[in-house]
Amino acid sequence: MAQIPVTVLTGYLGAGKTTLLQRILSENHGRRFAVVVNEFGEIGIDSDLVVDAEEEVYSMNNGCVCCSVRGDLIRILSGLVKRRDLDGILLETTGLADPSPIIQTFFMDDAVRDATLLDAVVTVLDALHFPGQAASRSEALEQVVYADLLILNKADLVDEARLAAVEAQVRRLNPQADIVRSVRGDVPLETILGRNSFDLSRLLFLSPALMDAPSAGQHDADVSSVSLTLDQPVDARRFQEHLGAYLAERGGDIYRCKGIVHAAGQPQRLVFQGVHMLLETTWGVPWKDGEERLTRAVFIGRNLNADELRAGLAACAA
Amino acid sequence: MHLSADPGVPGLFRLETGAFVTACALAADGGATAFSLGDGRVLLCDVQTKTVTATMPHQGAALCLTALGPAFLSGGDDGRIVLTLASGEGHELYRRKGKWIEHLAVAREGRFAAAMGRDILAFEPGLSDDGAPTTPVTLGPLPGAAGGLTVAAGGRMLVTAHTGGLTLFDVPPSSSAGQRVEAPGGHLALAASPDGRFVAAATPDKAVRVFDLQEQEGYLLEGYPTRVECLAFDHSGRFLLTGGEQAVVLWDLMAPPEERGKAVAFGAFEHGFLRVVAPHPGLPLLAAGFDGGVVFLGDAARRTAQPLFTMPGDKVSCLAWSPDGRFLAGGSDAGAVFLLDLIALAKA
Ligand SMILES: Nc1nc2c(ncn2[C@@H]2O[C@H](COP(=O)(O)OP(=O)(O)OP(=O)(O)O)[C@@H](O)[C@H]2O)c(=O)[nH]1
Ligand SMILES: [Mg+2]
Repeated sequence: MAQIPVTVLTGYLGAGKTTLLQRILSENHGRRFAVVVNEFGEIGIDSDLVVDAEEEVYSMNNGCVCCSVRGDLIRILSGLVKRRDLDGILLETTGLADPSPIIQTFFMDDAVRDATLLDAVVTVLDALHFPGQAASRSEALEQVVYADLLILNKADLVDEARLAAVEAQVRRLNPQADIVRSVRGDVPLETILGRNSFDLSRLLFLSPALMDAPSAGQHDADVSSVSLTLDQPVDARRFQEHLGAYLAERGGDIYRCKGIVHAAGQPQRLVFQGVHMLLETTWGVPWKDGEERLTRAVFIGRNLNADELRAGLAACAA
Repeated sequence: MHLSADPGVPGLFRLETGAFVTACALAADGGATAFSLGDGRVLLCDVQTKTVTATMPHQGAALCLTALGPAFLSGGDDGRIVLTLASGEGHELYRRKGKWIEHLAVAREGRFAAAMGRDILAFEPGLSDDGAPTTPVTLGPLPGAAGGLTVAAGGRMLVTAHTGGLTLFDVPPSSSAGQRVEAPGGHLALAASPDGRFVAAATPDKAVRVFDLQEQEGYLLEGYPTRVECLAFDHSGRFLLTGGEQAVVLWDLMAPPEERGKAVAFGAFEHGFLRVVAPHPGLPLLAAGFDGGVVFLGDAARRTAQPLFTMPGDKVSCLAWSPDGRFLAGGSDAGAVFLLDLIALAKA
């Protein structure tokens, strides 16, 4: 059976998640969505397919201290896939949720993985309040680092200079996500849906322009990103072993990593992504003739040591 | 509409319904089989004539189904519980918009219960004097949504599993809080031994937690390559059968503690996992439904099982025996349903 795409809408309290959800539902797209919302309910949502979720997070008993899943999601998604009339599932998290258990549920649970497809993590930011939230709450940062699409909402409440400053701040935290500005979630549907962000086979490149973004320093509660590039080919086996070992040790602090590797002697690119200690690697699309074969990777996490990461990658050169 | 005889397997009758088959059940009097579907339909099939009557008790998916005497109860993601008589006539017993009815369990003397998120609804039998359905008693709230609901001890005990453990209620319930049995983490699929001594619940991290209510101890059964989706006790109450493997997994819960963690796997299947297991109500027989729509019949005493036939679909989604053990019904995620007459199969 075809997998049903799931879009996760996250963002801090009051950022405009429900406003965006309403907007998606109200557009005349002819598609049928189920909406999963948190237990406090969303009275205003105009859909007959609203499911309350309890956000039951628990850690996995598999020796991986940072692996936790959303048990309620396993239940709800396996229920929803029994109806065949859905084109997609939209999931709004609570404003204080760390999105990683949701992502890990899609990684870890075979049944969820078989029946559904995590399409994207979309994070809505309140352009006026984000700087204050980021300074005081780690959830506000976590929501940014896991995003594939960052929606800088409430753009009507701040001037261009403030908007640009917030944009630069979130760009430092997450160099790979797309950033769009919005007022009341007025983002084209095509930007939000069908992103297929977690499909490694589609990963062609990590945007080189963004790789050059300056990485974050002392600010933002020690959350930063490190972008790496290497122009020599890499020994695929050594690289996978190195990355596995690195994440096993430091995974608790690594929120997310993603990369494309130029593996020596291989026509295909080696691609990987990780959330904490969970790592997925696969052979991606072959390199095109004449294409520059570069290894690019980005790590986002707490207390990252850029030199150590760079040296680790360099040691994998073939 | 009717189920048609399969030329390849004596006693086997089939139909394509075009919707996910969420559950099946056979009436206690042996008259009808019912199949609940992901599009809200409940199909009633006359066991003798194989004629099918379609009803539409739910707007959405019919998520669960059970026999209640000669009739059937179904619950849906529309928050309704509907009683469908063998004639096809339906009675709505309960409705709560925005909630899901995910599990139903029939206790003794026509009492039954339904799981609705963190609430358990306990129903007394019959309709009130003016013909309206009786209002259920709400039990709970549980610490998390019910992952499973079942009855044990001759229908005198109601068991539910959830995040943080189990909650037990007597039937009829003496308290709405019930008795809590604590265990960390989430609990999904659930089974209880007929005598009520053992309860087993699948955890989200590829294990099964066993609660021995008599000895008041609990332990984990581990080593599965995937999350366990089905659990059942054999009629003796001693052996626990589970999925989560490319075979039927059997645990002897009466084994001495040092032997307890040793499973026996039989009925190996190369191409996928076990999704549904249904022990026969009276004999050591069992039916097992795998990925690929493959149905096995086996012998739990001799620890063997072989494939009998294949339904279209990615997996078998439900299996159920008639109370007398003569008929087996089942379905797949792609909409195939079947009814198998064991006597006709044995004669051939
Ligand atoms: N000025 C302005 N207000 C907005 C915008 N987007 C949303 N709002 C308002 O912000 C408030 C919060 O919006 P919601 O969509 O409920 O935010 P939320 O993220 O779902 O909030 P929680 O679920 O409570 O965390 C509402 O009063 C919205 O009308 C915007 O772009 N500009
Ligand atoms: Mg909201």
